[in-house]
Amino acid sequence: MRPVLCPVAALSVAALLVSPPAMVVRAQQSPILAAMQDEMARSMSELRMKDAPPPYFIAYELQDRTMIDVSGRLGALVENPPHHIRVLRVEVRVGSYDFDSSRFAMQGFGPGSAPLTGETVLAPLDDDYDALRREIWITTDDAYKRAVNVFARKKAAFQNRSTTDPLPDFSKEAPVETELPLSPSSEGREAAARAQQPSAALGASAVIDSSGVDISAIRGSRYYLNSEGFKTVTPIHLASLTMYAETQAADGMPVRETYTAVESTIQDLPSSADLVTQARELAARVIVTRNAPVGEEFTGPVLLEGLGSSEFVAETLLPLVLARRSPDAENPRVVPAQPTPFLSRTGLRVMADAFSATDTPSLKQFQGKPVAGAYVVDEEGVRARDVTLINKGRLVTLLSSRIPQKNFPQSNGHGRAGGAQAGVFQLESSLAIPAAELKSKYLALLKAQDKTFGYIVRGVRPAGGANSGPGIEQVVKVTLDGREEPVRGLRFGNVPSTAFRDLSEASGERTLYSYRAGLNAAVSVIAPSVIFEELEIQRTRDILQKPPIVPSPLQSQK
Amino acid sequence: MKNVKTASAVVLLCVIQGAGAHTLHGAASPIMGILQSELQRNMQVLRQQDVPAYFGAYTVYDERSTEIMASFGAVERSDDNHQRFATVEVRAGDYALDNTHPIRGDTRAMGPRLTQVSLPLTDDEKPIRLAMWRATDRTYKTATEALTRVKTNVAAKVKDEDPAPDFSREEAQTYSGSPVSYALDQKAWEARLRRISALFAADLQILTSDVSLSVEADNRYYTNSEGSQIAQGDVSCRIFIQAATKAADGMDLPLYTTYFATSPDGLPDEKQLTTDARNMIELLGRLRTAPLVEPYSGPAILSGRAAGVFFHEIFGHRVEGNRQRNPDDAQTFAGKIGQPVLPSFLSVVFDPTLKKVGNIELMGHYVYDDQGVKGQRTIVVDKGVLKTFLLDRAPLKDVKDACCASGFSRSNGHGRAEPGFSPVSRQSNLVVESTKSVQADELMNMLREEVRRQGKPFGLYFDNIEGGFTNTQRGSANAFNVLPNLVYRIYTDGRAPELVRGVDLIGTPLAAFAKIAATGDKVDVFNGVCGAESGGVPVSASSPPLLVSEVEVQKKAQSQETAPILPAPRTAKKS
Repeated sequence: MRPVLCPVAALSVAALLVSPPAMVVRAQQSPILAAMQDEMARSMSELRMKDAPPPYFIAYELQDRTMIDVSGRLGALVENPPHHIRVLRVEVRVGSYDFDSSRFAMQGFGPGSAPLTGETVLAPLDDDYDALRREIWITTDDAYKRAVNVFARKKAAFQNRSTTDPLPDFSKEAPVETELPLSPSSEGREAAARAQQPSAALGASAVIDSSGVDISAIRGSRYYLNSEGFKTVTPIHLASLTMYAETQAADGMPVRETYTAVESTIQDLPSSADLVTQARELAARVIVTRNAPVGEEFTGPVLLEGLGSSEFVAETLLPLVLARRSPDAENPRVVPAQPTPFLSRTGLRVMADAFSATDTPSLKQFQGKPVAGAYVVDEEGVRARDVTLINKGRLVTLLSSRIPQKNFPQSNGHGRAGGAQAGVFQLESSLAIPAAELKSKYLALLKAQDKTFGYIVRGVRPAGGANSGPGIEQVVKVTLDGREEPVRGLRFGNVPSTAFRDLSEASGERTLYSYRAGLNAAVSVIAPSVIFEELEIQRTRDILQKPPIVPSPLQSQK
Repeated sequence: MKNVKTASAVVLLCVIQGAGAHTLHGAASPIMGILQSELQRNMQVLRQQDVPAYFGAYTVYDERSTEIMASFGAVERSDDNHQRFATVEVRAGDYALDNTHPIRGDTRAMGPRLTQVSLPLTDDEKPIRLAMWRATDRTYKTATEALTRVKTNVAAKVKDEDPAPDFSREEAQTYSGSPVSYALDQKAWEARLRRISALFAADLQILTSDVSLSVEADNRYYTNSEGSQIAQGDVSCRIFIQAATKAADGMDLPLYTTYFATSPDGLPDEKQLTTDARNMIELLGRLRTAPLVEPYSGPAILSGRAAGVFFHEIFGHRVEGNRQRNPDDAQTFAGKIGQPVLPSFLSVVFDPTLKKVGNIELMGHYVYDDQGVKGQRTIVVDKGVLKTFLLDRAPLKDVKDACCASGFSRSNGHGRAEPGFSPVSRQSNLVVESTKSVQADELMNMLREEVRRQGKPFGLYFDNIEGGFTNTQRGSANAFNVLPNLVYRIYTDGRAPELVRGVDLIGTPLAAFAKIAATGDKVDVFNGVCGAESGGVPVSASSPPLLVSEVEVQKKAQSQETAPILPAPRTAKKS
């Protein structure tokens, strides 16, 4: 089904696709939008507190969400009926685009200390104009009073600070209306089938202490309206699956392997049969890892293969291309500024010359498979744009939201998951070689550096703590004769932002990896297998527990 | 610091009795067999360790619930839930000294939590055994670490004045109650709550309001290494109506009404709910313009419900046995066994076996407590004299001349906890009994007389209390603060009672009890959920109205938020 886009008059947005098929819910008539519009108009013209600034911006967002959570444990199900809620978020800003009540962390605890992103309340499930409008009214009143209070404190905090080049708090963007067809609600049975059999397959081995399949899906609609004229009606759909198996090595080291899949819908997740295959592989891998020796610390060339490479890119390179900005704070020591090393590197070399990176939210399919990170409009109502981020190793731009950042004053439609976020991040090399040749290139590189062994990493997970890089889930030690031996107990050291300048090789084949960034948003990464000339690999610092005293009930039953 | 707080502002329930097609069974049920066998398998090995486990208990909670909430005529939530989870308790050491022994000088000690694991909804043996085994291993290891700390602490700190053992010996119990379930016409209830909640939309000064129904069927399976196997279930059904307005000075004025029953027949019908909602709207309107009361001390009457909360907060929490063990607790009543603590016309009984007072069902009823001990009717105060405490399986130092044969070495079935917490002695159904009761008119006359005698301009009548809190720790004021939301001034010159607002009832416990002068004759009941160390547990408190010769009130904490700037939107667009 194609999106129905209706840009407001003065817009620079490209062509519209008009094709309202029969299934489209006619959102214009919905009491939800009517109640939002009417209360918005009244609030913008009448909501005033004596001796306080009026609102200059109001946004209403209503999310109608049905959540499905199903888990499988050794073939038995843990599931709840679908959970349907409507959540209303009201954002009121006072001040001006240059300096307003947003982006300010106040001292103290409790409500009000975190920067304002609006008041969030439960909204009626019934399409009842009166009840909804009443909820919007009382929540807008709260949000406005909060904004006035924050604005006063922010002004006070800034009156004695001098700023060299002040950035506005909020970017001005041309309003646009976007209305996409809403999707029908989801089916829980689809999830149960994908949890039950695979979880039984995971439990086949008696040495696995704990295992399971967890599926979490969300489906619904999002209505967004702001006082500038932005209007968005879009479907919400996201489904994620995590399969895990845990055991303990003889030395007490915990061993955990996972498999994840993130798609737009439960139906798009791998079939039950495919998941059973994945479960068997996962169970086998856990046992291999459990019996593997602990790896050695290492600094030198590293080959990242397939999914492992895409996961590594998601953990390390992708965050660098987000033009995020930390909130201002009443006490700046409490909220340290996030480092954004690429902010001032536009035009400079940030990767090896052959590499280019883009973010293409318009990419809906990759090699015949759906791409979960694709989207049409971001959470601030701004249309998603395809963006070239790195061209021939040079930084072109960063992904931005409506929070301006140095050198990036406007949004390029990436205001997602509460800040700037990627959609479909793609990495490729103009000098790619077939994946099958990467290993021999890697062995040659090891030899040239006088190494006796190296590591091929095939699975990566998020960083476990401060001062460490991503975790490693699947890694083999490879000797110069090409022999591979699984090892365990390793993780990456810190990966500096300069590491990508030393990427030496990449494959032509690329792997799609999607993950969840927040409740409603998925991010996809499409990346080749790569060789880094130098990365640091360390041992994990797990606290080792003694193995269980009583043998597993699965063992004693046999 | 531990505040013991009773949240009466708790959702109301109504229980629907087993229409019964549900699958859970008692001691013979598959899950009980799986639990018992896995527990024995683990304990056999753990008993042989250098630091032996001497006691283990598994509880499986199977909880099914439906919650519906409507606000201003629209449904905001309508959810079904079904979950199963288990808690695991393992004690290391022995009955005399184990890992639960209080650590002296540890002021940050919070209520201990039990290991909790979620389980599949079906009686599948493998996943249940695997989950219980993992949790048992974790729990045992934590217990051995705690025992090491306990032993070090016992050796290092001042000698314990209370050499009572850490765990009582109780007989193994077998009980197999019928599994409970409920059937609910969810659509009909949604429609009913929509209609009742819509009444509040007519008053544009009412800022927030909702009406909710919560129905819950809990089946519990308890087994321990001493051989107890207890399967019991409760259905509870509550309705909760709340609405709040603001006075012109910004003061928040909330009112609540709650209903509890253990069967759908026990719930009020729509006519009754509508009447009560209209009364609430009318009262809120009067409260908005009611005069403020300045701090005052003088005579007062507490209505039956208000008196119930008053006793629960100020008396009940102080006779919970675990407080007498805690060296940081003020232990108001620790040395008072056999001595008068209340006027001689009052007795206080805690009776979990009691299902009803009059025709009002009680939330504090249960057959077995959360340690597998049968709930017992316990006379704590007999004609003013303190006889015993509410006891869990942590014995108290025996008091000489104590009344009871067993002393304080055995539980009286008050070891209670919210699922997931470690049970401690908590209240059940508190019942205040009086031998000096007079009719309502007579009690009011006695109040007026007392007002005249003391030369006060008026007395107070506390009609309803929303909750309260009290502090029982040493090193802080052992005061109580009870939060009334309906208070009247009673005059002696023939003027009608006058609704007022803005006061909390405060005081200190021993002084307050001494001033109870008489009681009314009509008992009323407060049902609610009490929150303390071991989480929220359902309780009730029943009492006749109390005439107190002197109470003190202070100004309520007040919101600084003004009323909404714009008036509520008119209902113009109703289609």
